[in-house]
Amino acid sequence: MTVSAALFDSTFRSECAGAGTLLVFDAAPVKWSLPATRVLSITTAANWPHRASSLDLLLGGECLDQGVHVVVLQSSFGDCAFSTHYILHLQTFEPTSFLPLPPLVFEDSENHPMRYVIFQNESGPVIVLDVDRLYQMANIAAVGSHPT
Amino acid sequence: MITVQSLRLLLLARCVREVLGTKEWFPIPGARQEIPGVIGWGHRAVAMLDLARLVPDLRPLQVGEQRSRLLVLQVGESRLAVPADSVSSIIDIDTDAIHPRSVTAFPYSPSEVRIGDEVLPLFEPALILESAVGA
Repeated sequence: MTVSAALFDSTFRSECAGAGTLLVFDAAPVKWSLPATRVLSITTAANWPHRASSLDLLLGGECLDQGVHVVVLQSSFGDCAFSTHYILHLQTFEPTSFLPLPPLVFEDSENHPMRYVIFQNESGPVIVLDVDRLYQMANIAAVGSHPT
Repeated sequence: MITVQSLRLLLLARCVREVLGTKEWFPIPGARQEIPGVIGWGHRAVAMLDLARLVPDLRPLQVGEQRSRLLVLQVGESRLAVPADSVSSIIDIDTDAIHPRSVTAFPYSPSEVRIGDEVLPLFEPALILESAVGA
């Protein structure tokens, strides 16, 4: 299901109930995803929430650049938000399809926000991000800031 | 013996779990330079080592590019996928023919083996693991 700010209130919460439900960003050839249960809101760039820090990073410079959607996340360390131009959709996966990324892949695997990969037969892999690690690794701007 | 472009290496057969044909790999942004991605194998994500990235003048694998063989190696408790252009049949080598490296220059081969007129490095993938842990 494609997710937009307009759909968020009416549909999103019920769709997020399953632990294996991910908010997926279509960023070919690799797709990024976040556990949907950590998503507090999806809004438009004009409505950047004052309470959220800005996740200013990352992921090859691809994922979190400014765009039409603002996704607000709940980490264990505080709320954070980013904007993206990628189309968002919800997808539910079987728990057994979450394969840990091998530690060899990263220089600092213990703290790296990319935790799992899900291989899909036809539409390419989905990389699952850890919201807490994302928060810790990100260049967190001042609380309440808006990306300029 | 395996080859990647002009690189020819020996590898202990007991390390090899499986030799596959071409297999798609997926890039992981921010991954180590020599381990640019992963493959799916046996319901695992296995790190893919591009040997060409360890040797100057060899051409690294590009995204979407594959080599004709893919070795899955057992390295301690880990597995490592290594694309190769060719994999020869098993060669029996007398242990007396294995000597400390003096002629070859491959970084993860402290030993080398003379076969006829040729001296080939003996690749020890466990050293990749050790260097990664120590990094």
